[in-house]
Amino acid sequence: MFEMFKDKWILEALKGSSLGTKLSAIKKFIVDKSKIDNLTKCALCPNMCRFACPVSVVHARETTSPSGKSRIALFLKKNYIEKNETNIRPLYYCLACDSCSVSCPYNFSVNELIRPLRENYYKLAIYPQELRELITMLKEFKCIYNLSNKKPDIKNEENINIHEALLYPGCIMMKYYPNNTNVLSKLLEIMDLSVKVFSEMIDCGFLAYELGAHELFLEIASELANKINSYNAKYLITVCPECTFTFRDVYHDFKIKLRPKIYHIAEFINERMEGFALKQNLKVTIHDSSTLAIKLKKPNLLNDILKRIEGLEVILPVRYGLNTFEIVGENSFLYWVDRDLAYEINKERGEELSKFANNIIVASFAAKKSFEDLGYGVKEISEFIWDLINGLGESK
Amino acid sequence: MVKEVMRKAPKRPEIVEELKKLIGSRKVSNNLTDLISYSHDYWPITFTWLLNGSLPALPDVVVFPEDARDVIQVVKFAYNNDVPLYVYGGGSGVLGGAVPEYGGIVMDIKKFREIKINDIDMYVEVGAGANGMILEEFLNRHGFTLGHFPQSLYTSTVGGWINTKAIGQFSVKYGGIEDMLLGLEVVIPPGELLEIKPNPRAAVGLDLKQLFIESEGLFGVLTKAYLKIWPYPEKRILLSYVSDNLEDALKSVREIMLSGAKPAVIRVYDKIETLKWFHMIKKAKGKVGTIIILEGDEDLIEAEKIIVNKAFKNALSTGEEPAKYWLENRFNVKEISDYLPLGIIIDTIEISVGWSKAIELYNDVINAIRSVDGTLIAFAHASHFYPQGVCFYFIFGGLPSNKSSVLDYYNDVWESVMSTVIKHGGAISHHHGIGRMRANWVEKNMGKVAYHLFKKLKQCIDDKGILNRGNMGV
Ligand SMILES: Cc1cc2nc3c(=O)[nH]c(=O)nc-3n(C[C@H](O)[C@H](O)[C@H](O)COP(=O)(O)OP(=O)(O)OC[C@H]3O[C@@H](n4cnc5c(N)ncnc54)[C@H](O)[C@@H]3O)c2cc1C
Ligand code: SF4
Ligand code: SF4
Repeated sequence: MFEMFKDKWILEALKGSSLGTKLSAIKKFIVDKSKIDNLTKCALCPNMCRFACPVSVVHARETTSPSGKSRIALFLKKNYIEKNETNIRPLYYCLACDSCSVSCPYNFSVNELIRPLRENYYKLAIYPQELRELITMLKEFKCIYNLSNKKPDIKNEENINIHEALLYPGCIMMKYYPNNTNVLSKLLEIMDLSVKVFSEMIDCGFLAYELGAHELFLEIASELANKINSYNAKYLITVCPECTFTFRDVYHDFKIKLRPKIYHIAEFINERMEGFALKQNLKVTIHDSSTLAIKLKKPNLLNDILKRIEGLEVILPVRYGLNTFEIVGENSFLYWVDRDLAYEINKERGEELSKFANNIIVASFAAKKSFEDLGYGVKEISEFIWDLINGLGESK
Repeated sequence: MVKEVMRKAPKRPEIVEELKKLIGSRKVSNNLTDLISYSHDYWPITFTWLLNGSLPALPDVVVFPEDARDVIQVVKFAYNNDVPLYVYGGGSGVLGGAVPEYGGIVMDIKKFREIKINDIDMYVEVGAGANGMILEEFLNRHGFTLGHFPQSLYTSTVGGWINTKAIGQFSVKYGGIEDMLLGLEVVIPPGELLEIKPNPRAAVGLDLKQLFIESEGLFGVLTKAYLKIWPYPEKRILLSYVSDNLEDALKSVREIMLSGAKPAVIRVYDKIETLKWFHMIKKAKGKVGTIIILEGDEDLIEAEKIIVNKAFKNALSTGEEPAKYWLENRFNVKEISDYLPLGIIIDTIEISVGWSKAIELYNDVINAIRSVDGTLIAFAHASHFYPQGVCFYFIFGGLPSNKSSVLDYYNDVWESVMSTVIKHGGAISHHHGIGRMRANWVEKNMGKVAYHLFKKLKQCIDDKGILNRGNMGV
């Protein structure tokens, strides 16, 4: 209604009220209104974005709905309820996907509103006990896993001496798909890029950041940035949308400088696939990553790439692009806090997609892993394209 | 410490463990955060309390059933142990209908969200907890629409719609939820599943579906509904008009309603609200704007357009723009968030009345609201129409003076509006229902005999009064 006020029509509407009432209202509209904080506004909202929130849809509980979380956050902030592990738990029932922001009349992301509270409670060492192990790993290995014995699968690494691009595989790819580093670097080379693979296992810091462990994030990010910058690469190619977002936006916010231009692999493929006449007779559907679609503002990226493949039938699911339905990867704290719910969310999405096609194309190895765990046929976009280039794609 | 403003019964912590044993601990919670979340719905006055850490009433426990068996078990338990049981959908009810006034159990029904389309018999079988927008998007993706667009579409549930007799913005064409309901499944005390199958029409004894429409959780726990669906409309036509006054606009709409044409949307704004929705039309200032949206088969809506234009022949035709603007902004709900923290209470009151008394009632209600000291704004639109009359949707906002509290101001406005509507013989609610806010006026509005019968029915179905104890005053 403030817009109404700005539109001046509310002044007309106020005409019928007494002078005293009118004056105090105008003071409130002009002076006090700007002081209302966003968390309070969200706590007072009738949950207008709940249909878009994967946690809310699947968990189907008020406390973990978007405004439900904000209400609990407000009660914690105002000390109406005690700050203990049980009471703060709802703040961790979030995928940091920003899907709420798409239909929010204020464009709020609940995650953005409640992260500052997670930060405060992290400082007080109050967080769900299931996160302890993860935090220990982050502190010890600067990565959500101990990957000290994993190495990227790069055979021609030493032969490349001009490295235009640095490929940063990220934690999930290194843990579960280290062989794909080879595929990826070959794909990038075919796309006219000389590549070196970043081989130290420091993660991008996304989880530390989202948990509110900001000092830890700074420690991880600064070390990683130094190492990345030391490669003197022109481009930094990531395979995980969360890495891309963290490098591009969060590092920037924390004033951590990364010199190379940052690309998600799908963005890079989209730019350079022109010269390849790709064909495939296949029916596929897509799972858009919310980080790519919403945070990085690339809602049509996967579809744009796939549309250019002759013979490929891309069947869009009910929820795609900006309205995508995020799943829970191991790089999300909800995976660690409530694995049953993570499984349910992924199953819901998998079932939706499999009604449209047996082959799901994703733009993240975390998503690939989650769908594979459930037994769905899934390909990450770079491996899908690589298989097409090499004539390895199946026809169905 | 959170304070409870309305709780009327002692705490019963012992029921938590028993329920856990009954349906599994994963589906039962007495965490403080859950008790807080289910202590209120979207009744605006209770949000003024919430800002100060006070809540209407905490339940003793919240349950999250996953199938009809769980529901039956809980209803049996509540019945055998005389524990109040409140059903919770989206919590978007605006009158306190879901407030667990007597504590006990709140049952969140949102896990019931399966959607199955029957595209031959043209209905959807849908869980009572299904979210409106998810349902509509699912139907659209498969080429259908429900045609039900309450402003709370994004947040409310099918079960909530039926239990409050909700209506959507496209009601002139598609009707209210009562026109869409073909069948249902509901668990009634002492724990039985009642099924009403989806037939096009049935004359097989009393139509028991009616018992559950606008029953606000008093008669049973709705678990499933069968709702009519329509092919996704082929085409839309957006129209708008500016009339000299409300009377002229309503006359035009009445003509349309009597012609048999069925525009999907008709919205008539009073002079004040016209300033908002027709802000882009200079000539609308000081006049009454009407938005009309036609949708469906192309030939049919072209014919309807002729009828609409004829009915508004004395008005100024103002094109697509206002309707477009409305379509884009109709779900932007910000009022409570923007104004409540300033101490300004905002609420809406929807009522219905026959054509013959429409203008008089509109004027009297606006005057009644304005007569309450502290009122800042009072305006209205009419957005649901029938050959017999109209629903007015009043919006008021006030900043209580130093002498009165927000609650006093709020109650005074409600009292003045309700008594005005009753005096004119209108219905005190058109689609939000009764809840706790309107309970005091139900008997007067229904009539003594009808209210007595209503109470007897409640007694007959739920003899221990476990379901939504305290609601509607029954
Ligand atoms: C912003 C906003 C806009 C709105 N716009 C409209 C509108 O355009 N049209 C309209 O009609 N209403 C509107 N409403 C009111 C409200 O959305 C409706 O009353 C809606 O039907 C409530 O649904 P819910 O799922 O949120 O129900 P709740 O609020 O959870 O419950 C409402 C009542 O129904 C009972 N109940 C809910 N589910 C069940 C069940 N499965 N079995 C038994 N009892 C049950 C509850 O106990 C309670 O008494 C609006 C509300 C808001 C906040
Ligand atoms: S960020 Fe995602 S998971 Fe978190 S509240 Fe918003 S929509 Fe839900
Ligand atoms: S994020 Fe926006 S739409 Fe969602 S609950 Fe908060 S204010 Fe409402």
